[in-house]
Amino acid sequence: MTYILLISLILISSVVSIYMMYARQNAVDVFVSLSHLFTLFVLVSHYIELIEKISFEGSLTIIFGIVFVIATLCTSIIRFKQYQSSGNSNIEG
Amino acid sequence: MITVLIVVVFFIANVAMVISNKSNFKILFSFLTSLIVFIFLNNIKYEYSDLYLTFVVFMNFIALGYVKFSQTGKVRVLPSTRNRMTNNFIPIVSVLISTLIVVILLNNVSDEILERDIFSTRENIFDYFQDFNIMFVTGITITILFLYIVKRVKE
Repeated sequence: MTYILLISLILISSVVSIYMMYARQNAVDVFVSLSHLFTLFVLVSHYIELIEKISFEGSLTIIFGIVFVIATLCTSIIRFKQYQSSGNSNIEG
Repeated sequence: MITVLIVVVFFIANVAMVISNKSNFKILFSFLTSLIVFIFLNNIKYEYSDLYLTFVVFMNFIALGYVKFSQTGKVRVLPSTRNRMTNNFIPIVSVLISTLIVVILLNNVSDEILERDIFSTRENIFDYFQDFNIMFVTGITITILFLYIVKRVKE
């Protein structure tokens, strides 16, 4: 049962993150979808560990974590620059 | 039974996150979903779930810092037109599609065959910190992202 629920968690987080990337123009949606994509990657790596009976020793979690944290930083800076030039329809609140 | 409860709470938190209007509530519910995933990973005895929690807390901290800094008014934001159609329509469609996929998946898969060897011992160990190529690619990616940040800040 936990196996199926792991798959269902992966599916829910993937669909929500991918749709939130394109659905709204708000910057927070991008951050939230980035953290959900990180969740998705961790869940998929654990799923691969369970299926193939291997262990990544937490290295994939560290690599994806560093990459997504830096992507979040990049996105926040780019968003600030873009909103200063072209405007923002949704003010954060 | 408790895993069913976890997934139901996860789904409710996802819906609340998608339909919530304010950024603070959105980050709060996103953190709630991450905590639920952390509890789930603890529940199935994943050893490195605390690493996951650390990175998620850090990402949510950056997002909350962005929101609070943009509310101070130090960055001038120009007004533009609001797009109501895609704002309100696509998240509802996404929630419905995810519900449909999960229902289809839970309907057709039998538990007993899959659950038989889920907690068996790990035979191989792949530590990617030993692999030089992957560490090289990761280092190059982080360097490029860092240079991009520096270039953006200087502008």
